[in-house]
Amino acid sequence: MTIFLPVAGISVNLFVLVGAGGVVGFLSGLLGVGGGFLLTPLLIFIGIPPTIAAASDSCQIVAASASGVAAHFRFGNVDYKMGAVLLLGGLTGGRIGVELIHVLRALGNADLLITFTYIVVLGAVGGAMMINCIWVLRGALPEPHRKPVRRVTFLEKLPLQMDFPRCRVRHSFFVPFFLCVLVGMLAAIMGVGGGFLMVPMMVYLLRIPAHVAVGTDLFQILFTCAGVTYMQATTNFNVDIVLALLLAAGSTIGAQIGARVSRYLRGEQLLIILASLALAVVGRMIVGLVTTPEFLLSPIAKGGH
Amino acid sequence: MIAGIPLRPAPVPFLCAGLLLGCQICRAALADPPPAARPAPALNPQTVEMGAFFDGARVHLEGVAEAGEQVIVVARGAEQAEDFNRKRRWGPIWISSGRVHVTGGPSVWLLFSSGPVGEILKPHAIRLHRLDRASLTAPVHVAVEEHETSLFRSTYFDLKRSRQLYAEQPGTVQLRPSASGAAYTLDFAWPRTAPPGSYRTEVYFCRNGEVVGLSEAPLKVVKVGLPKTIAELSTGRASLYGILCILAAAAAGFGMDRVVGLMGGKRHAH
Repeated sequence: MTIFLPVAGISVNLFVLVGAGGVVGFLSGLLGVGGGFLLTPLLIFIGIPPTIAAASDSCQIVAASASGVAAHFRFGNVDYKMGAVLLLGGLTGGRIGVELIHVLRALGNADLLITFTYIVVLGAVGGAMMINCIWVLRGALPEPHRKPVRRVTFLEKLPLQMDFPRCRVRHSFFVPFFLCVLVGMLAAIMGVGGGFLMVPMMVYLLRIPAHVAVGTDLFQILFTCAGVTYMQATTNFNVDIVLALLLAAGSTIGAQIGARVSRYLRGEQLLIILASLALAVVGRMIVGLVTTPEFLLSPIAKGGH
Repeated sequence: MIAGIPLRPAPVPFLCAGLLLGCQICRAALADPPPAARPAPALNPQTVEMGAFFDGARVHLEGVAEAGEQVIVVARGAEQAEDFNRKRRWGPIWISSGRVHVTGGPSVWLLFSSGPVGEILKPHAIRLHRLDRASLTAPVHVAVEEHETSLFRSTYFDLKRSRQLYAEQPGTVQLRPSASGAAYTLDFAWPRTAPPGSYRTEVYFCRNGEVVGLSEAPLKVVKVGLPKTIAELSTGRASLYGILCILAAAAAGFGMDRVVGLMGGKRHAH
């Protein structure tokens, strides 16, 4: 069954779109990632113009993350206070990252830097997560050879200390804020939502339980993508509501299933899946880099989330 | 000397201008006469409507040719400018490096004919009317180094063909004898990937390797119904449209959660 996408101006099989949304929504609910890094290339492969794919993907992430947040909220996995700080930091970092990209593009060959940043960051985060989780699951995690007391003392001296009850942590406002500025910058440079980076950062650096990290990350993704959708719709006229809602039909169901499945998995198991996905994307990128492309020209993708 | 007026040699620029003018006059006199205009073909539908479940369209075209003529039909869109990312080899890897601006290529180019174009027309006629891959891409301007132009013109054509926007289908125009000569018919699939806009179908009547007649019919492709309303809203009232998109997406997400929650509740009740 084919449906015509009014803004994209092309016809696509309805079930392909719902199915693609379902797979990405499942990952979103399970792992707290937006899924933009998977869905946008998939939509371009289906034949959606890149600009429309990126903008409409943001809109469907609003639906998927709303569904995921609601489900995680019922399970007590959303810390709104932490979410608000993350959102503020992520938006600030995203803005800095976008400006940085403009400067890099003006200097030339920014694409190479973006590609290598993608591979190095995703590979390092994915690899570290995978090794760490395997050690934990085997019960063979070595004692850390560091001096946590000195670090904690330093962090505790920072101003604006606050409790994050759901996360069961106490941090200065500036710790999650500046970490999210960094993640937001990297996310903007890499052109992805940042869930891949945000969840590991929350678990390993902020010591937030993995389930709460996933729920809270979805909360900030919801608002980030709502903002991007509005900007894309008013600036570039690129949001296709029919495309977004069809993807959302699949992704909201997928997100619910993902959120439920996540309850039956240990935090380390969730992180292993996330790490596997990150490493698979890195592997796919490396294969894509060394394989001769079918065409020496490719459509330009603008926007993103 | 004529009547006391000394003859001076004409200045060189005037001689050159005269020669050039002479050449142009001779060239125009010897050039092929423009093909005669023929009655427009019957096109059905004349307007392709892109509704909510649009999946491409079948277009039927028919008309009359003279006995012994071959027919070539081209559905052509307006020439457009496009930007692409350029792939470049950097050591062992391929990266997107720089933009390529392409102008002069039609948005859509679908060629159908009653036989192989190379057998129906002489090379100069093919070039003149841009009726094969080489002549279509020759005027396309690709902003790359001069020695790369040919490669990137070819890549541009292949990319368009992969999206079904360019096609060559010889042998698809049917010719059968009729009282007034020969009737030609063509049924072709209008690609679902072609954007809305104004297109034209050109019918070339060929004899002895030359185009002897030409007819044209416009083909419109328009959005109708809900797609038209949404498309107009997205550009005409973008701010409202943006808010509606967010509200609809959020409602879909929270609504789905509610539905799943109710289903879960019922299961527990059982």
